Amino acid sequence: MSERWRKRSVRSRKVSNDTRVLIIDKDKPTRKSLYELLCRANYTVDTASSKEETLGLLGEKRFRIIILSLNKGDLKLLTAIKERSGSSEIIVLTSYGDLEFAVKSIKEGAFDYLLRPVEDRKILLTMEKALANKASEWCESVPMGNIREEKDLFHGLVGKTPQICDIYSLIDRLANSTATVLIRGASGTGKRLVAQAIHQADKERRKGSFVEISCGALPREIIESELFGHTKGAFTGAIKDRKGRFELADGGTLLLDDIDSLYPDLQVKLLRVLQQKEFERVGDHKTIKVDVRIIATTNSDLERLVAAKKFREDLFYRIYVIVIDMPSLKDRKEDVPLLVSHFMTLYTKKNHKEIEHISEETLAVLMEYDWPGNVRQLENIIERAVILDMDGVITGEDLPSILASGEPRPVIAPGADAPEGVNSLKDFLKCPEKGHILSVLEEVGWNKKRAARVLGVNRTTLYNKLRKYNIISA
Amino acid sequence: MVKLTKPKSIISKKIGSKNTRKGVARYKKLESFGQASADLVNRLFTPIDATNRFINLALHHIEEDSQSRQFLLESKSGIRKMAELLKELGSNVRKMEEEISEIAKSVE
Repeated sequence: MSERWRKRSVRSRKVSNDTRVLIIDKDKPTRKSLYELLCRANYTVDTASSKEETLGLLGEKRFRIIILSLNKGDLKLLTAIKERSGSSEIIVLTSYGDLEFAVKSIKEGAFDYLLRPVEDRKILLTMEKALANKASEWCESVPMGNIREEKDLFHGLVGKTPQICDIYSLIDRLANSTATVLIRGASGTGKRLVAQAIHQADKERRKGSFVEISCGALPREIIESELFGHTKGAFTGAIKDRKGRFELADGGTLLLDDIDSLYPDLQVKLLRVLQQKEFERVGDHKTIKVDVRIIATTNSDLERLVAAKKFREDLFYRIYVIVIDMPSLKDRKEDVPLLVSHFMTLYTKKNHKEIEHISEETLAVLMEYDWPGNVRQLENIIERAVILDMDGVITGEDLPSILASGEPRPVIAPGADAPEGVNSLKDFLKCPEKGHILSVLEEVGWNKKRAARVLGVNRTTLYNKLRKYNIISA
Repeated sequence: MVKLTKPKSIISKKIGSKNTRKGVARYKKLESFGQASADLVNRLFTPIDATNRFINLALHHIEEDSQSRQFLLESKSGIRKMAELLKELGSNVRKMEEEISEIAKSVE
């Protein structure tokens, strides 16, 4: 408190902005330079150089953001500050060589980390993200025990990048509405988790059931009966009345997975349910009314399917009310350390293992990889690594060879010659997918369950692809 | 490009020789040297970080076409190069540390 520059600024440069920031650093030039930078950006800034000074300030004032300079082995300081600072977001500033330590700090409750030397722009951007993250909670007192859970997991979703934070915010806003939601995104991006999050965020609907059905996984006759139910004797094998998924989801949420695979005549039936909230069981004339929120997912371009008359236009506009686009993991690689930490904790517990940490080099490999199978692929790789690990530290040896070598997956190059007999562009474009599936199947010894995991698709999708490409087990 | 001699080659010779104890003492010295270097590299990032930020702050106060501005931009570029060199050095030291600890494990 005795520093001249600090006194001057606290008196004369305090701004109307209520965003109070605390800088904690033993190094005076760092404190002063950060102080000047943040004052320029209209923050109200305090600084502290020791633990005692920090705890004193935390007793007097509430800070929305704390920038904490940490070195290896200082995690206790972070924990102490976390306990005293309530809902403040802590940004850890550490040196370039301490990436592994920085990741640990996030596990301990820090919002994000910055590696020295850090650009001014990056500091300000991270602070904006931190403010956005806790914007709605700041005015309310948050129970201490819930902070980590609320921060790290949003109804089971993990991530802090702007793309994923936008999705959290959208889920919050649409939670108590009855609007139909369409979730688009590649396989493994977490569409199902977002659907569950919407269900959980709705205070009324979460008392009801969350029911799901994969529209592409079942034959036409079965899916109709699965969706709408049937009466005894409606068809061969219908030995008793059976409720459909719509009835089971009454008062709750129904997830229609891969809606683009729905048969055309069922699209008409679904349209009627969406419009009038009523339907009949197969083999019955009695109309049943339900109150169900519909969430549909797809990894196809529905607009293109509508243009190609493969998907009904009226149904498309009926479900195209609120659209959530899931980012691929490649586009939010900053979330990889957090996801790794989450899955490590999950599978360590599940497999009764004791894993201390993941090596910095291994984390760097995971950060570099492009993740064609998205979060699901990362989850499978971490599960595998946790199971195979022998020494309590996940290293490159615990990763599949395809990752450890840092080489891209063996796929047929787009410019490769077309196989004999393939003339049309459509057929030619199918070749890389078929080739990739075959190479993965070879790699896992034709174990379909493992192949589906590696490919980041569910088994049903894999079986559909095998049928489509006429691939027969070796 | 900052390059360090690969410790594996030095140490494997020593360990392979009759005087293993001497070899072990030597790799331990190397290990502590590696740790000290990594620590030094990390500590150097602190003043570099602050200096870089002060230069940015000063640039806000200086007229667009002044000579001082040019000097500061040159300093900034020098600081950036220094940081890059340190990053390279840091990652090489870490690799070296890992190799040494691998050998340490295998010997012990």
